Amino acid sequence: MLRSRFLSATIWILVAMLGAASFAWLALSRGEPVSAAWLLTAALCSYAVAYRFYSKFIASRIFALDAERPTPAIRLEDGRDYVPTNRWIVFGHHFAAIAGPGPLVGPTLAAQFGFLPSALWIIVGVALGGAVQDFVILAASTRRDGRSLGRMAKDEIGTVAGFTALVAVLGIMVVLISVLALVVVNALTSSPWGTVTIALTIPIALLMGVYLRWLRPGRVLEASAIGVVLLVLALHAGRFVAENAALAPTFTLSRQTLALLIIGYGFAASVLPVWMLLAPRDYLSAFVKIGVVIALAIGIVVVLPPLQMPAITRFVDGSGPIFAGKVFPFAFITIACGSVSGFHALIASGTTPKLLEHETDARAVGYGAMLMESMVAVMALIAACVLTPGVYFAINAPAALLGTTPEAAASAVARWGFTLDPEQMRLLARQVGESSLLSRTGGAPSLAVGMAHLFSSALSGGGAMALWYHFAIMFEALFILTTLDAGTRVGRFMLQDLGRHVWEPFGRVSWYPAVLLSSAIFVAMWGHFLYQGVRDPLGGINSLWPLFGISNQLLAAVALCVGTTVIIKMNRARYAWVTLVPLGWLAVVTLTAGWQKIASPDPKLGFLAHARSLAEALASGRLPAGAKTAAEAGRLIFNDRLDAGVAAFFMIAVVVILSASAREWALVLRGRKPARSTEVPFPAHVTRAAVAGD
Amino acid sequence: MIRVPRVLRVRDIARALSAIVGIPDYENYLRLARERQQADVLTREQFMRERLTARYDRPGSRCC
Repeated sequence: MLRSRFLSATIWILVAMLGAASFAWLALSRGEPVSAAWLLTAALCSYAVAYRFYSKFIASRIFALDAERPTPAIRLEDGRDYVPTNRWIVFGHHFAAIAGPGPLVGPTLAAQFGFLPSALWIIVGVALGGAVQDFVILAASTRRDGRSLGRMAKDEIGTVAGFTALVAVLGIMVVLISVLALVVVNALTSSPWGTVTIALTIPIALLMGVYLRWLRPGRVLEASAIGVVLLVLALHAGRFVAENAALAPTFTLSRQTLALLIIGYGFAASVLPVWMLLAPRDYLSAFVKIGVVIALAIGIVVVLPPLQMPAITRFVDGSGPIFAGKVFPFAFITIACGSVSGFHALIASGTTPKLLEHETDARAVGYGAMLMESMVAVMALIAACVLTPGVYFAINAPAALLGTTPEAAASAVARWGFTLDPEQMRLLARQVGESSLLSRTGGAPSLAVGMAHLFSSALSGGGAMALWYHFAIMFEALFILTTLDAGTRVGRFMLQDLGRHVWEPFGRVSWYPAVLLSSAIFVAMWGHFLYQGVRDPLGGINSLWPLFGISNQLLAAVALCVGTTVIIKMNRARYAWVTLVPLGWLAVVTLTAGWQKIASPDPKLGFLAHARSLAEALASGRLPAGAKTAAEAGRLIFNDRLDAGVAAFFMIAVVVILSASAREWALVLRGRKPARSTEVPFPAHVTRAAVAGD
Repeated sequence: MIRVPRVLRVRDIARALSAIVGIPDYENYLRLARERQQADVLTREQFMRERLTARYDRPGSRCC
């Protein structure tokens, strides 16, 4: 007994030391490229220690999770929503639901600061913030029959907090969908291969839908297998079109056209029945997602590529070409998914708590699955950093800074202190089967080049590179479009729910005029931001991604407020720092970032300063860069002010939630209000057997 | 006779994969409904349709 404890202590001390040594090696590297193996080791050792000790502390000291306490799945089992499910299957299900394009895009963009700030934030942020949030919300919801985050905010904090959470979710959906759609537009602009492949995923999903509805109802695995085979064919069809001189120009589309097509698609997808397009696409993208995450992990472990990006670049000073702003606070809002993502709280209080067979499983599912998503973010960071910095910036910087030819890009990159050979850029574009890779901001293309680089060196020669590149583009676009479909649908329901207080018929979910109207309004909301992003001379990602990060972290703040309230009302106030520390950090980060985006005097960073500089240019009779007419410049000014308004709205929401929560905490802690828990009570004498037998 | 380990059976793998992507389990629903002698048991098609509608009407189904 004593010996095995000694052995275990020794092993954990060694794991911790190995992790610390890897961090030190990464941090002290100067000049020479470091192997990705160090980053992987640092991450894995940190996750292991955090899981073994910190999640256990939360499970036992705060919640006192008890395997004997019946979960909602046991008490309310109905074979529909409430189904007791094996722990590892719930883990897989939860992971598949939380992991979207977010952890792939954010780290790729934030790599402009170098790999170290992002790596530290991903690893430390998940251990002390993101995984804690997911776990606490999952445990709290499991003890409350699987209630939603909004409902818990209302029950635990108050009506104001509940309403703010609801409106915040709606705002986040709008920004999220528009920025993800923009990533797809940037990847598909003037790319007939990509455009054809992605367009073909629509008939493939429709075919699967028909198969599942009429030919073989419910046989999802069969339909998905057929879908995957057809996706591979679509990939080759794309190449055929791209190489065909007669067909290629038809599918070589501009940014504006692509944006309009996606807006039209989003509207159609949200009014069609779910079985036709959304559900089959969702299944397909879930399988492809799991497959690609595994393949990416194998690719990285087999190749163990050197990281070409320096640990820290000069752009930590705020002059970054991909998005403006200093490393604090912008690294911390650019990477949300992967370290802390508020959106996860919706899933941890959605389907997952209704599936847990034992309360104790919440630790592996809530904390563990988030560690895994963090690992995906680390892999995305590695894939971006295996590119030489010159290539990375050429792919990701907007055309306004880079120019439109490889030569112009090379001289711009040289001004930033990196080297880029124009010929190398041409060769790379040819290798992946594209006319140009410049200014494909958004993460998808640089991740695709990184993945193509990894896979083609792991699995075959250079010839397969173009296929791997388009496979990676297809895979990201596939699940971005799934998020877009599902998000638009949910957004429509939320709008109808809010709107029915104003005009009752608007809320009828099966009345077609209301469905069409609410869909049109919601699509117009995100469509406006998407179109604005497409026209933005600074590239769109520069203004929209920070807004998304701020909104996502706002939702995390809501979740952590709920978590803190729950902990205090369980009479565990002495442990409230577990959620208060990440909450405090997120409050500081979102409010600072929001304020800088609104009020910074630098026109590249501050929305209002940018609007002012446009207005001044107009007033002095010049047309500002990026605007061809005075009316267009006017629209740019309007958009800047709108973005500032959206940022202000998110900041106000943070303050409202924080002050409502703080008031509630003070009342409870001072004894003015009883610490009444809304947990489903657990009388000690009710055992699992007694519940199962009734 | 060689006994196939439980994890490696194709049917089990298929069931696990289906559960992970969130495909509802009709057999389980049916077993439960029979056990409880419910009066109105859904057919497979009704069940699949009902679950599909429920899947996409709340924000908890998908993330960024």
